[in-house]
Amino acid sequence: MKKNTIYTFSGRSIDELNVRGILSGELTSEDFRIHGERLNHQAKVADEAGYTQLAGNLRQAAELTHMSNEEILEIYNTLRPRRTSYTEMIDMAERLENERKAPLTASLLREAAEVYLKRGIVKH
Amino acid sequence: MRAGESRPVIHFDVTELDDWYVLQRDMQIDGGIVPVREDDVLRVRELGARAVQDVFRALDFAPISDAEVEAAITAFSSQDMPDRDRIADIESAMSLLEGSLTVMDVIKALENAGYRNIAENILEMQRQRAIGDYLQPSAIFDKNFRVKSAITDPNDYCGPGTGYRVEGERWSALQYLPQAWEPRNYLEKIITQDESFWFEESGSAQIGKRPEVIIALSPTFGVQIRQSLGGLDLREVLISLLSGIQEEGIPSRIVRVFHTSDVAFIGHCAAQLSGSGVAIGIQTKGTTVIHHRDLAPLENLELFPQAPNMNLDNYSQIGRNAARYALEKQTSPVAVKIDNTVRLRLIVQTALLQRFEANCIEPDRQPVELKMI
Repeated sequence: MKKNTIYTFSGRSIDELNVRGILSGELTSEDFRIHGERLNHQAKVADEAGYTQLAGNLRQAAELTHMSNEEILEIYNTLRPRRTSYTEMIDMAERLENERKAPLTASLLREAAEVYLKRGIVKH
Repeated sequence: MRAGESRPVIHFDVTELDDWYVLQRDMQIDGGIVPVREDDVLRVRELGARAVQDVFRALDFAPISDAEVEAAITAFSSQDMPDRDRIADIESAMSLLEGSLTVMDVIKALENAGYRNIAENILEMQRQRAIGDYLQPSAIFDKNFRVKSAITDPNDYCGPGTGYRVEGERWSALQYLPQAWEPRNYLEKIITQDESFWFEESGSAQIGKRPEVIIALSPTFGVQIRQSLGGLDLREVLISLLSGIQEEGIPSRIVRVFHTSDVAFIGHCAAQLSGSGVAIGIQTKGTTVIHHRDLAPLENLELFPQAPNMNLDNYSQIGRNAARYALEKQTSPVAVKIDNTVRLRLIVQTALLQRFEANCIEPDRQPVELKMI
């Protein structure tokens, strides 16, 4: 991989993304998805400029690039008040950490589980 | 709406953007928008409407008619658009949500229909999603899709005179208002061509002995100029003042002051002549004061400084209040419309009108009493 080229999720370089490729059918919308490493790079830039929280969000977003829309929606719906029980949220965190290599998202789920329990907005 | 009344400003939307241009120009502030010419707007709207029509056709959505495109070019709101078959539109929307169409298909459709620039712009938006620079704080794209953000274009303000300056090309663009007109034409437009008089002079103004209200007019009121800054007919303004006084059952006199154009001094002068000590001073532009003999010239009982916001009812109420002060009865506040943009919007007209009035001063001429005819 050339050092200064930006690559998308599918492995294409940014320079390959052009109208010709779309017309020929060679490029699909998958080729336009951001790569996790690019998000981590943006996180580093944000950190260096002092935007710590944004950097944290960008790193967590990098984890999500491996997941499908359906999966992300599932996590999102789980985080709605009173949708899931405390244990279900903890279990989901475990899976995210161990099976989906998403420790930051897992830690968000764990934090949510504790807070929701304290606030009384878990499902019983 | 009666002459002189304007729409109350109760919200900020596209109809206020003309005023926003004026504020940007007159305060040298970049308020975020650049004046556009009507023909450019029409051209862009037409291009956009036709592109949407062609994309709908290519993606097999419920068609957009030529009549809709025509309407969209000049429409102000959705009420100006023809009705569509909403069921069919919902079906198209569902097919987009649930089917396999992506933005790639939109780009293809645009390219095939000949909208090369638009296709490339949409493509570039997609590329930028994979680059991610726009995710940084305060990010915008310039017209070449370069990202300006807190990282690439940081705020370096560190006191007056530093930081972002409105200058150069941007400043020129902000000053180029399509609706701007030559200030000298304003006076030409409002100085009356009417030779007829509606006043008769009846001798020099004497000090009154009985309870009364004097209305003192500025030098040009109703003579060279017959409408206020807000566009009210000055004859009707005067009649409104008189009717308000009349409602309280005391007499009134009209006096013309020649030696000053300052509303406070006009009112103060007349208050010295008034039997009750109460007088109304009014300038051609409509600015009004209720004055009293015992007050210093720059004090007053009531002052109405925003002439463009006044309506005829307000002037009646002013007349009424003046009479009540003369009778030493209680008064109630005159509810003048609140519009704080009025001063900035009309500052040029105000200056021109007031300078004209000041040039008509006759410093040695004593006030005369007038009768309306």
